[in-house]
Amino acid sequence: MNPLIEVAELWVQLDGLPILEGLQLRLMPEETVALIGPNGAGKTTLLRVLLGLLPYRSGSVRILGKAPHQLTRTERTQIGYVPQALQFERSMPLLVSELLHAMLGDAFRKRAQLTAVLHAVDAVHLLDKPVRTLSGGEMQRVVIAAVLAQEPRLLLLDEPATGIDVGTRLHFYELVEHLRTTRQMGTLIVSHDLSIVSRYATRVVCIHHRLICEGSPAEVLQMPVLDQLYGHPIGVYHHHEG
Amino acid sequence: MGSVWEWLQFDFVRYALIAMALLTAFYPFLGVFVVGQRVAYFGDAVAHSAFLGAGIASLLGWQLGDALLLTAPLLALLIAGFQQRTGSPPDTLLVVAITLVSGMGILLVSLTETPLAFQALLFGDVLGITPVDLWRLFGIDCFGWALLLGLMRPLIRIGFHRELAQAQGVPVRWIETLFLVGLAVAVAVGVRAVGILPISALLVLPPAGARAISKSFRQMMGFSGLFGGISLLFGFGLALWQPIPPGAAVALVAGAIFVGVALLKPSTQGAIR
Repeated sequence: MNPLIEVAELWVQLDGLPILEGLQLRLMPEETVALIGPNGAGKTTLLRVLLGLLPYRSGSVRILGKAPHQLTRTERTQIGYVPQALQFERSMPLLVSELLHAMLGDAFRKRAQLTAVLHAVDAVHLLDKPVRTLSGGEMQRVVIAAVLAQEPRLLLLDEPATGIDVGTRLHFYELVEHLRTTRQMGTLIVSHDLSIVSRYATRVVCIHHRLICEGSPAEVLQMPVLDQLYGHPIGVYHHHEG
Repeated sequence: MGSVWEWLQFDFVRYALIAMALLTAFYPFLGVFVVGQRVAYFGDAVAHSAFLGAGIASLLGWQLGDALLLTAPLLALLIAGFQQRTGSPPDTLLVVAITLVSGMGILLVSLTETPLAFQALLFGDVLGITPVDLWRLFGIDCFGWALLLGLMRPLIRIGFHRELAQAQGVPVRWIETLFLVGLAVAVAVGVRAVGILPISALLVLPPAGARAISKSFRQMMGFSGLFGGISLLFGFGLALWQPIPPGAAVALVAGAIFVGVALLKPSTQGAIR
């Protein structure tokens, strides 16, 4: 199997400041990799480089086997990206159904299809709601639903569950887990929620401008280096299913 | 004031009414995207390129309409290119553009010592519309709607989250540049027909009022068209009834509708959401 993401010796600078210094990362199909690290470690920068939104100074970046800027439009639809919830524009009057239609195209013109899309994240009741009345969590569910509807091979999630209640968050990660095992989907999650990381990630990668450590959640989350990086002891709270 | 039928005997009144209908059929709808893409001030800057157009026209002996079709898209491309290259804040860049094109236009006019009809440029001369202007407006309606229908989905996606759209393969820079050039051509044709002020008013005030009371995109398009139509009809009626420039009357009615809608809309201040 070919890796979905392969990053080697990646150097990125923003305004002359080094953000990523010789980073290595590899993600295979059927892997859920959690990318952790303190604020400013370069996690979101890495996602933006992978998506081709940010240039890099040197190194090699391969996503779905190609450099990010070489991806075709069709290949880009195989990469599902979910940005942080707070960045969505809400001033325009737009129904959720209108937004989904704009994002998914004419293949999802029928109401029953849009209902099915939202059903995957338990959000059918939002279909006729104006986007500007949605909470951050509801908005995130709509975007996640649109991303999953395109049946991506690779998911890139930037703090995807921020603002979502615990039940929906677990439901979402169960869905990601289901897609991982049934469709061999690979997922890279930037997350500060270490309980989610410990439960759903198959591998954890900790970065702070460069690779600090990686391994299974059980190994990485007990490493003393994390306490030093975050500046206080790291404990993991496990959510209980209701 | 004579009856409507008597007024309609005059060519200039008929042409003006047809121009109103053609403006209503497109500009308030285009305005929905202008407001959605947050380029309201851009439209204004491009409208001000009329001063430069007038300067070039008087220097080279061109028709104002032809000069505008050159200056407006050129300015749009320059602003878009400069913004993408330098990352300068759009508001700063637009003030620079307005200052430069107005100043250059006035300078060129003063060099040729040709009197410039500032009032006609600002408020338009609806009653001086020619069949050529009507054909141009009709052309821009057809071209503009084709462009809007083609760009509608990507523009909604860009307006919702620019980076997400870019990540999903929407050619954001091309779409934005194409939209801005299309907007510039529409503004150029509109300014030639009715002046800077009513075009700026039609592109921003009806959609801004519509946005305040709409729940869906479709509703916003509908209300914007309605408010734009009322502004043109009542503004034009006002100008026939009282000796005021039609362009100024249209802008005033559009402004009054916006203020009325904003005041009548139930306040959300203090509400727990």
